Amino acid sequence: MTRRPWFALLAFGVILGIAFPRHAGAHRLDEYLQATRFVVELDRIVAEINLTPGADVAEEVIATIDRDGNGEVTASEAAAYAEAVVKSLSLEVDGKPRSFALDVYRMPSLSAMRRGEGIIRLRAGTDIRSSVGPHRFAYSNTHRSDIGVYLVNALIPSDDRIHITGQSRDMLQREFTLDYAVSAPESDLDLAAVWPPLAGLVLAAAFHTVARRLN
Amino acid sequence: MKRFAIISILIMLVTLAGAVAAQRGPGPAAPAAAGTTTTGVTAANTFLGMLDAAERAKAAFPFDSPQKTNWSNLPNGVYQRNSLRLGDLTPEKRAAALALVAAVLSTDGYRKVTDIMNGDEVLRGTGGGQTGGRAGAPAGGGRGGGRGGGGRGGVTFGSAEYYIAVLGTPSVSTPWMIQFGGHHLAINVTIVGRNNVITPSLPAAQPARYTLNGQTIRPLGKENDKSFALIGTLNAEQRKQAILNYLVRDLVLGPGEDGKMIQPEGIVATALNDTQQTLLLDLAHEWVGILNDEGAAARMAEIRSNLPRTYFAWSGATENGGIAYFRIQGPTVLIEYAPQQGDLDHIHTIYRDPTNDYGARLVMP
Repeated sequence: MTRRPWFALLAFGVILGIAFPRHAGAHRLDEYLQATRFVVELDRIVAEINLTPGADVAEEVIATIDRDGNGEVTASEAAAYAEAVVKSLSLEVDGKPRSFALDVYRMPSLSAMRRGEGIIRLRAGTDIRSSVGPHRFAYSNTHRSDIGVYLVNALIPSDDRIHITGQSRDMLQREFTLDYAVSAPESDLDLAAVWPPLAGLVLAAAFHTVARRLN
Repeated sequence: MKRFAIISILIMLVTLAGAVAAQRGPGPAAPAAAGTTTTGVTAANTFLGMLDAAERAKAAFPFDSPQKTNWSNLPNGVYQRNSLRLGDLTPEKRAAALALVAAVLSTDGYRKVTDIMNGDEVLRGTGGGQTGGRAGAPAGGGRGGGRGGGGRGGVTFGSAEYYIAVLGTPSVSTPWMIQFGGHHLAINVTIVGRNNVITPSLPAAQPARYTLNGQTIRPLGKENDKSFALIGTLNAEQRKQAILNYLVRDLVLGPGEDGKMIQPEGIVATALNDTQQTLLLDLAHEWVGILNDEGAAARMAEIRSNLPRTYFAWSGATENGGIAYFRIQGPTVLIEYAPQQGDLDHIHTIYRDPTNDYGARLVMP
């Protein structure tokens, strides 16, 4: 071992000339990050939403959650806030308005939120019936747009019959349109699995025929 | 005649065997150990052998322990890592811990790790910082200051605040893992025989530029510069495909998002010319190459072979010095680079392998 890893750190301790950076923002401050990921299934669209208020806006957000202002978030206050977030989402599937229903939520500690590190996690869904063919859903998130920054993505569908064909967003990712197509169910016969032995059979039969003729 | 019948049957058998093998997919990792594995095992046993019982209880975990996914970009005091803290060790034991990390990384990779840790030492010295934020937000109006050193609310920064764990028994044949990380750093190296992977890993930086012993250090400087070099070579048509028409303000699949994969966007790598493909691979190597050279070569070969299904997406400025997010995504790679809150001095990145995070493919029976 020719490397001396500890010396590099030790050397750091005795340096004299550290030029401090102009900016050193440790963590999220005056933004309310709202990251949504969609899971598209044949019979359901699920939205997983992570909400991270920055330290500078945490008190504003906490005040909205802790409605009686007693410094503690009760289960009912947390549920009410999660419901309010879900209500601020709009969704259209194939041109028809749909509403999300809250499945689960998890609230971080207030201290973590005040540090800008607490993530409120929500999961909401809406039942759909995706027939074979093209489909489109359009989503928008208007929750706390005064301080919100947004991410929105679709996860790769786990069902091989669902194929995402297009995505579009507005500049701030508050609005999202997803095009997808549903293909017909494949037969139970797995062509990829059976073609090699079939090819072998054909080849062997051909070889056998040629051999018989030669004899 | 009989001879032809036998040949026919042989053709069938060979074809069937090929079909069965194709269905089974790649087999388990070869058990033979290569140099890195042997070096890693020696370094791990040396480190573990120096620990007392209490320290060992914090450093050693079963291979399938939930500790495997217990990593984050967040600093100590916000995130609980539950493993062995460097700051609680004697200088000799710390050196052994870092020697273990160095043993499984490349020279450049280990330098990147120490550059990130030294950057956190700078952060500690500056009190944790207080800037960043939305365009147009009042400057300096935040509540940020005073988080360095001992830390407000128990949040601590500095090179002592990094944690190490060994999952499984260090071995030249059976799976084991080294986990090392702290603020802005997560390294997860899984070793199975001569194979090893470093996914998922999170190299980040704050500050992204500092001076140490008179030298300017940019822990993720090559990543930044190579990405701008690549985007700079794209023609108008290629840019139209590669550049997303929306802002990306953070990692999409950061810590806690194991097992997820988003629909790819951007330009497919085969729409790039040979020079651009080389630049793309060289950029990806900045993350892959944190791992030791043997392991990185194997991972790069996989990425190269999957270029027809690999995408490069960009959001933001295209001139070096501007704020930009980018993503490289293929069957065995997801790399994201995301400046935080419009701050060039605060960068988060992530490297995942959707098929092989925590060595999932290597330990497959």
